[in-house]
Amino acid sequence: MNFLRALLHIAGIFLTAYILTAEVAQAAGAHNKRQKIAQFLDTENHTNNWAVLVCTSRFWFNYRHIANTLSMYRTVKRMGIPDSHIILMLADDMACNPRNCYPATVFDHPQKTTDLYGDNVEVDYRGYEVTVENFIRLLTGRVEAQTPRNKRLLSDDKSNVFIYMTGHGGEDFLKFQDAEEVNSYDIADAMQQMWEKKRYREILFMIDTCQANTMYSKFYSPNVLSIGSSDKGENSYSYFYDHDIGVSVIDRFTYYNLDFFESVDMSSRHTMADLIGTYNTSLIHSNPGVRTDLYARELQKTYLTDFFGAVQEVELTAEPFPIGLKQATG
Amino acid sequence: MSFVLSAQGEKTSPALRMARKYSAFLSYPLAVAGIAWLLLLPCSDLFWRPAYFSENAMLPGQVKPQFGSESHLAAMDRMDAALSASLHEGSIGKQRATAVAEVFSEFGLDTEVQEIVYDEVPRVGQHQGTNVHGILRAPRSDSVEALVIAAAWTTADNQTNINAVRLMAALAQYASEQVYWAKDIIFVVTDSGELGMEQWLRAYHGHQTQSPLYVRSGIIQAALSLEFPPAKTYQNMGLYVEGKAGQLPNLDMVNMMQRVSRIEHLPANFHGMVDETRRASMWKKYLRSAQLLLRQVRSQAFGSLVGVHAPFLRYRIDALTLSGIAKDNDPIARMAQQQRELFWVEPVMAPMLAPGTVHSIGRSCERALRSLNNLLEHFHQSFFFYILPANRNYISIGDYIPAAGLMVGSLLLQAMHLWWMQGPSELRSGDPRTRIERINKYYLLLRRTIPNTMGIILRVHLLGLVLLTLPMIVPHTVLTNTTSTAYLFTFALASISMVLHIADTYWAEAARPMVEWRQLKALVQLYVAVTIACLSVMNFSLAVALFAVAGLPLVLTRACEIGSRMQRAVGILLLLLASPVCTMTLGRNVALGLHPLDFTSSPFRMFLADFHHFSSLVYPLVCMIYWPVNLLCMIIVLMP
Repeated sequence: MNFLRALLHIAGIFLTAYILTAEVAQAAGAHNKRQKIAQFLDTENHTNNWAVLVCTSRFWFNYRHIANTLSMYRTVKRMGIPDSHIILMLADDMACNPRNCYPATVFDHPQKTTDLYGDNVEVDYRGYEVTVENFIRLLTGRVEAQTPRNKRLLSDDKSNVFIYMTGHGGEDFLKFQDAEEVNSYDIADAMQQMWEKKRYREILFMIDTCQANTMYSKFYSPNVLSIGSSDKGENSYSYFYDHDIGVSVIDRFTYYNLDFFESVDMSSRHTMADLIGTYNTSLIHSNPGVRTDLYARELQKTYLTDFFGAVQEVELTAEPFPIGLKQATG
Repeated sequence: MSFVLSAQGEKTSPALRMARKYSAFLSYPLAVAGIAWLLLLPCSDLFWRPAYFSENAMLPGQVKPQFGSESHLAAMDRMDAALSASLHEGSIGKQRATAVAEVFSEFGLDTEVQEIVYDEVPRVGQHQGTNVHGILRAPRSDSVEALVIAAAWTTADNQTNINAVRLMAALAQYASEQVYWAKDIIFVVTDSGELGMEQWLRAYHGHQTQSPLYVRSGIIQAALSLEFPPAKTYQNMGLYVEGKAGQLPNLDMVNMMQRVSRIEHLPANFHGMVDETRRASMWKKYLRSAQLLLRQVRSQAFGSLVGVHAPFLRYRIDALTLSGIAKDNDPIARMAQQQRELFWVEPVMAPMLAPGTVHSIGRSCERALRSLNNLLEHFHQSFFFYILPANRNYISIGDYIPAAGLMVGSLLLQAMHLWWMQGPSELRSGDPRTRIERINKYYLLLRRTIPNTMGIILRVHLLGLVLLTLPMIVPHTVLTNTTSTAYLFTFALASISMVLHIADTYWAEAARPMVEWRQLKALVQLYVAVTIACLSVMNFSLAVALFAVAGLPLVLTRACEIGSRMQRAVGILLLLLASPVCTMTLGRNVALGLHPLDFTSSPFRMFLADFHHFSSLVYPLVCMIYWPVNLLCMIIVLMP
């Protein structure tokens, strides 16, 4: 009898101890989990990628600008950015231009291996919708109420935005559709608005026009990395000429960028420094420029997929994590 | 301002004083300078600029041509078969046109045959003609714009333009196989040359109700006219650009045509004239260029028989004529052909590549069509006013207009001098104390004579007006029975008699003259100067021609003091030589080292026809400016 009572007491003590420990452990574990969640969400890295690809040229003889933009579009899509996060602005229609002897196609190489316009192209701003006003509204988010979702840049403060522009340009300006121009101060101010409204984390601004480097010379917002195809006073040149279609089909600067991207895919660890290191003035026939003074990180530590892909931060867990609104912000 | 304008008595501005002092002499050097400027135009180092493309959209010659396959050549045979069937029946006109229309419809074109009726001069001569056209609709475009390929049934030297029609068939077949046309292509064949084309254009633009066109397309952006007389190959190609009233197509289109034909190793030369080789002497090059410029002046000033492309230019459609020259007697062209034959050693082995064959010319036309297809807007980037001294150079309007400016300046300066001069020299010399009195008397004289002067001018111009409107009013039976030569000479006699009558009337009172010849001359010079100045922008060649025949005699009339009757007689004789009758007669028969003017009738009749059909300005200018000024010069010579 005494022995049984003693055993029960001990069992009771052990049980209590066990339950208490379990409770403490659970509480500690919950705290750990909350920490983990907070840690994950307070990451220093970006969480989503956007791409804004703009072609500002109209007319049949500017076929190569459309081909530039569509090639970038394909690259960015291949690296993982979905259509919902790509804004594609094409000022003219080359695929369905009556002068196109290969209707419904756009090629960027005389060998015509890839039809850039083939399947699955989503053009968001087409034709006369590509205007300076629409472009600035898109960047700053001041679009009209009835603008559909695919025409809005829904970026937040953790987005990396890749902006690519091509067309005819000059010193401190870019020609939109033969009717108007946007100048570098306007784009700089739009970017500052984006910064103030927390619409980006980092921007990669790439531009392929004549005297392109002047376009980014007036930026003053932080975290902007700019690459231009030619210096002030220089022209940017076209590359391949297709004698069947009768036009130039790609520009040199864009071509050599794409050439590099042939060896890059979603999983690649190539950095921006690698890309910029491959720029060869004698091949591009102009001096491409890079502006890094507004950019915080080092180019050797900036992966290509930070801008060109949609590589998400993924952490695999075996256990469930409660993520409610309250706990997430705790 | 006061430097130029103030003219109050003794306190005249320095500029005016200087002008008055020297104006007696300046007008002659100015006229000479104007002519010298023109003579300097053929110099290659002075005013010539290299031709370049302004329009980025054209991309001339950048595409691989696809013309020349079996189906295209078979199309030529189909056209041959259809035409020979109709020609066998010995018919022209409608049956031939219907045959062409049938062949076109086989290619899928929308065709229509238009029968036109036109007169040669107002209400004289009823001619009938037939136009046929086929429209190739652009497969993926709306028919907002069109390009035209035109041909007449006869070439400039009266041969059948059969190769052009066959080439059109081949081009139609080639074009109907392609998917990249952004504009419709209209193929037109006319059997009445420029007049037929003009009737077609009027009907196309809706200006004509007698023979309307129902099958139409959009706005015509450019037109190419083909002229290929029967031959197996062509040794030279000619490019003709002038219009009926001196209009010119945009220089971009001309340069484009030259580039695409140069790619095929048979360059198209202006007026069929090959440039001198680079090793030739300066003098030879000068002469060659001067010859080319003279031909241009003739075509641009008179606008007669310039080519089937000419009516298009009045509708602001850039057009030019491409013509093939089978055998060129020009030694330079023959040398060029020999060079080509040396290069193409085995033409038999590669017939499709040899220049001058139908494949080669078809490829040139294809490249031209594709360049025109690339355009989005009318030609607007390059020049509309230019002179072409050589095949790859042009002279801009800023470089040739000063010649006209100098000529006009000489007229104006002399007018100013005559108007301000205080009368004849006796008036200026003599006793200074009575000088003011004499000037006042002269001033009163001028005031008295001005109504008479104006009366003379009006009367002479009324005569010109009668000449202008007479062919329109006179019943046509009278006109058909009167040859234009008789008409002209009658008129010449009438005008001479009027001149003498006027001179008699006003000479009688030598002591108290009714007309002061200086006043008359000044007024005439003023308005001739204005006419030439305005004309020089529109039609520079015509302005230069007008100055040569009307302005220059005006400057030189009574340049020296007239003392005796002999001098007056010599003056009248010289003016007779410069009169329209004389110049037109001489110009008709004298070869001048160029192709003789191929006037089927007299120049006068041709100008009248052009005025009636194309609103060409030559006839009104001859009647209302040239002839009256000539008569007025004679009157001035006869005045006391």
